[in-house]
Amino acid sequence: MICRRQVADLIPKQADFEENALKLTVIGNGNSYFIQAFREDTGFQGEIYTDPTRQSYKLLGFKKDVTSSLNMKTLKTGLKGLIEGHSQKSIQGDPWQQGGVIVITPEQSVPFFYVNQEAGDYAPPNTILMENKGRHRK
Amino acid sequence: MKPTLQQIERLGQLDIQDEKGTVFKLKTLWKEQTAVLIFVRHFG
Repeated sequence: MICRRQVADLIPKQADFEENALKLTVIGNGNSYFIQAFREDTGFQGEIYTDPTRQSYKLLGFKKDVTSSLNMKTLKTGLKGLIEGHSQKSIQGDPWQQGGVIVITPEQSVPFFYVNQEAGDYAPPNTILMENKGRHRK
Repeated sequence: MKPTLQQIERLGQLDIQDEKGTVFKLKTLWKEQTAVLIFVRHFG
């Protein structure tokens, strides 16, 4: 439910990302045939890919442990997501894996990088936009 | 800590798949335009 809420939060901001020459892309780590269902469930129309090996997650240092996935705060966040209608179906991917955000330019510089600290923690779309607004060419 | 240029170059050589299972190099995502890559925990 937390992942669904995270992606649902992106949808109203998609046009803002495009206006600022930022290509918004979601990457998960489940099997590729779960992408279509995830797209239909979230309504996200942007690009979605998967890295089933999670090598990219490892290289970027994204967390992977039980305590960052299951604690009182993550349970509260999960409950909030459930109340807001972002119910979770079966998990397609590694349940202990955390994610993050990286912005990479064609010159391979990294103007923004965020490592999620626990389930339910993620960089708000407005923060990503503010940090990158007007900085990239179309 | 932000990844180094060497780490970004290694990242770009890794494979990703689209919903049809077609394999791409990650680098294709930021080759022509700045990319915002949102890594989610899972497709759940």
